[in-house]
Amino acid sequence: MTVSPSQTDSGSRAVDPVEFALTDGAWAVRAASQWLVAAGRSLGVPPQPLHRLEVCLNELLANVIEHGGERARSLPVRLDLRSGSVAGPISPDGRASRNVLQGEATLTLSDGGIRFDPALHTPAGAPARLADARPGGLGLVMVRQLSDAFSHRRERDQNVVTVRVRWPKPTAGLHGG
Amino acid sequence: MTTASIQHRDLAEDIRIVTLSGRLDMLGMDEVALRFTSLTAAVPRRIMVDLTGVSFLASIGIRSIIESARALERRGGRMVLLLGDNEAVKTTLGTTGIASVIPFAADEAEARHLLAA
Repeated sequence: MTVSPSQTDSGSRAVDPVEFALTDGAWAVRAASQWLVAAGRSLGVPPQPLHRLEVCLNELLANVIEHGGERARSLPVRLDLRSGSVAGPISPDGRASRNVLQGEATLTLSDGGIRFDPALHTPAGAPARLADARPGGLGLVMVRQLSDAFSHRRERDQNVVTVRVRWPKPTAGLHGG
Repeated sequence: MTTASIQHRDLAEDIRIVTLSGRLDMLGMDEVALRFTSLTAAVPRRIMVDLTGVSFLASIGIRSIIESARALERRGGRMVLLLGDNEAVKTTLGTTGIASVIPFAADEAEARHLLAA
């Protein structure tokens, strides 16, 4: 799969957005995943953050298929990927105090399913016993843990979910805090 | 198009190694889930699940592992996950907290040790 990146007005790089019909279920998720990997590589996203983003995409699409209702399955899902640089703490948990330049990839997923705000989902804690392990609800836990930022908004009767992953850039750091 | 595969061998009378490989996403699990459930529900009650050759692991694959491990535990059995140096799978599994209830092993010797404990 070949994907050609272009420069945006904001200085980030992007590929043309794509749409996938979810009527094909698991096949559509696989095709979306293949697009993301090709697009991410063309934008220079390193393998490890690209893998995290790919897991997030799979979980979000599975969620739309499972919980989005008939409308979500009948309307295409739109995917948009762009990459750029941001200044910020090097670790996702913010423990590092010195600002450095980081790479950032932003995946935006728009679906026509029933309103779903992941922020309202309360993730379960780690189980103490195997009997307490909840097989369901893992997808959103994984998205939260694997992304550096994760947000939802409702726009034109669609769920618009944005997932960001970041990575340290091998360039010299900025001076700061 | 086959994208995931499953194999098994019995290491001893009551120890079985089940090897999953490839992409364990929705499509991949469609291909191997039934066989996985059946292989982990059979007579050997100590199961080593080898994930070293898994290139992609989605929650649907983790759900299947948890469900089988729970069923095994109810029958008095035990499951260990063999990860080797598969960092992608380690990272994904690490987000779910299941290491506290299904032990991870770096190699077959460690997995055998954990199964015997």
